[in-house]
Amino acid sequence: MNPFSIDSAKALEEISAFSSKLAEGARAVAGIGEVEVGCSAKDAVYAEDKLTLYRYRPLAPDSGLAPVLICYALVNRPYMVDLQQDRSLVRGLLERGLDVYLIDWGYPDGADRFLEIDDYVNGYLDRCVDQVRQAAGCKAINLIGICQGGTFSLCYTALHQEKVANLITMVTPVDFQTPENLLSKWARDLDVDRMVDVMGNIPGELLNVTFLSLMPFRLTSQKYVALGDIIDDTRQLENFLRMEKWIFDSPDQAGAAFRQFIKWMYQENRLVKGALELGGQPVDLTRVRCPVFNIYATQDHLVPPSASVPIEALVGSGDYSAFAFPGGHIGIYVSGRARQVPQAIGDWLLAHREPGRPARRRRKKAVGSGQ
Amino acid sequence: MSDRDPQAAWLDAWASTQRDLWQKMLSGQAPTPAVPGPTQFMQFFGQPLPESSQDVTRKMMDFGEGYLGVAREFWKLVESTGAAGGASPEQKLKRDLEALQSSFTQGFARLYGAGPLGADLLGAWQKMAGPAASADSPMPAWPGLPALGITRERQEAMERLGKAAMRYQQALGRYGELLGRVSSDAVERLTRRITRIARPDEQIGSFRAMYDLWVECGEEAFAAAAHGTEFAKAQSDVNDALMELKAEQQKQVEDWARALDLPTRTEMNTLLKRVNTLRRRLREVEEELESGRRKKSK
Repeated sequence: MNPFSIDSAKALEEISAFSSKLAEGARAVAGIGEVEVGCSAKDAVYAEDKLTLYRYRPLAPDSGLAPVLICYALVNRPYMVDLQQDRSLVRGLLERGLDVYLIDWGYPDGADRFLEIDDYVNGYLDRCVDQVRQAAGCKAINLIGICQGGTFSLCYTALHQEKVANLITMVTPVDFQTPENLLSKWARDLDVDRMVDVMGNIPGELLNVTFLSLMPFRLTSQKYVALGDIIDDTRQLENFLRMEKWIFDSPDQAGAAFRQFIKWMYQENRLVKGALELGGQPVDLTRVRCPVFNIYATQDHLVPPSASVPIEALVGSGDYSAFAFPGGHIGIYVSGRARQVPQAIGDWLLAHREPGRPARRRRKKAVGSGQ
Repeated sequence: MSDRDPQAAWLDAWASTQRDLWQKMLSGQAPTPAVPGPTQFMQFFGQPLPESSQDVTRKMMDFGEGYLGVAREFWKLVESTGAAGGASPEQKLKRDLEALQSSFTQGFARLYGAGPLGADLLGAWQKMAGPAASADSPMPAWPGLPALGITRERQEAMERLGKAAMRYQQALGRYGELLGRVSSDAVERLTRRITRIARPDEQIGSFRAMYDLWVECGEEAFAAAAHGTEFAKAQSDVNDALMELKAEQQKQVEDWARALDLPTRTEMNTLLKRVNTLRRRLREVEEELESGRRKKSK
């Protein structure tokens, strides 16, 4: 049978519509100009080197829960968790009365090339946790680690369990060598020593292109062709542009930390083997005794579920819950179903409320603010 | 031409030219319309896009242009199949697709970053390689010639640089070959999918449906290759060869800097390491003091 059912009139109609939409789209994009990202009001409460710790302004009465600190990955920018009003993990948490803090790692430059994972975990992250504990007047906080930030948070909790009341990991890899993990296959043969020795820091652009190359046809071609489908809808177009801005806003990676992450995680899979040491201390995940809530995305091509699910078996906590989000690595923040995530986190935290926590303290004077 | 937005009148001109040429092609007046690309229109009209939207708009227009190029190839296939009375035997369809394979591969490949598959990644590597990776890299005329005399060290350094540049180009070539195979495999998968169509509800009714099918086949072909060891090795070979090349470049730059008594990267690194060590030590001391203070206050 003829596999095609298309005549010249239909073809002309389709091409005319496509050409017009493309032209309209280009005009619309030019008309929108710069899109804004980050929708919730926040204050900078601590700064050190390139790092800034933000505290978000409340949107609902205090839930009485310990504050939440979000530790994002070093790759890409953390405003993904607060991209826009209707797509914001942060907003979802604030609406549930949570006191939310976020670490912005900033953009490392040449002076940061010798920063190690130990500096990030036992240094910056620990000092941010202390800042939050001090501000809230509590012994332990709720820590949300996202992607690589989740891996750091796991390490941190294993080393400083007394400071973490509850650990929430989102799209967090722990087993870096599962068969579905394409990134891991590509990273395994890499001479990362030479790469870092030569380049110092690793350009964000290279990482970005590598991520897009995991699904090259979909991520670099189809989405622009499909843009024609939403071109008439300014709101959707703005959403698309925000995502584009985020995707291509990739900080360079501090060389030493990148070297360690590739070698220790992707090439040697040390967390799974219990062979990781930070600051001279073994990172023993069985020392993670607090309740753990692991959120992974079932269609995640960067951190496949198989990389994240083993957290359950590795941590020492007897209170482990998981939430399999039906979507991808980014959809977990911005898809239509993303609202489920802050809901799930809020519910889980309420169920794991620490008794006797003091009420939220008054805000100290901020060191800066941002919208 | 639009009076809504004179800054982008070229967009309407381009869309309208597309329509006219396609109309001619579909009515049999012109075999294949050779439409100038949107970039050429933009340059001709002298109306650049606002800076804030340049990147996304350019991508949209590039991919749109690639898409229309693929649609032209697809139309050739539709016409060829239709000429056989709408009931082309499988063998004929296969032959038609094979005949179009080269232009399909090129046309579809343009959809990936408006260049060959992997162009973005290769581009990022090339950018990192800097001037030494270009065609006019310093290549010794006789790479194997023994180095002699007072310029011996300089000659050896140039030879190493030349050899590294050659190895990088070779690695890039092998990687490019692999990506070419992915494109061909994608077309083969597409052929198989099309020839399997047996029911009216499976028929391809639009260029877009054909394009989406291509993307599916492309991703399948890419995944099949990318999960293999050959692909990972080819990628890491490009990376390693590039790093070797850059290392040779850096050595030469450092030699020049030392000769002029300018600070070198190596010296900067030494200083940064010392600063980092000092900072860590300072923190340790601060923590020890704090812990001592706490003990005392108890």
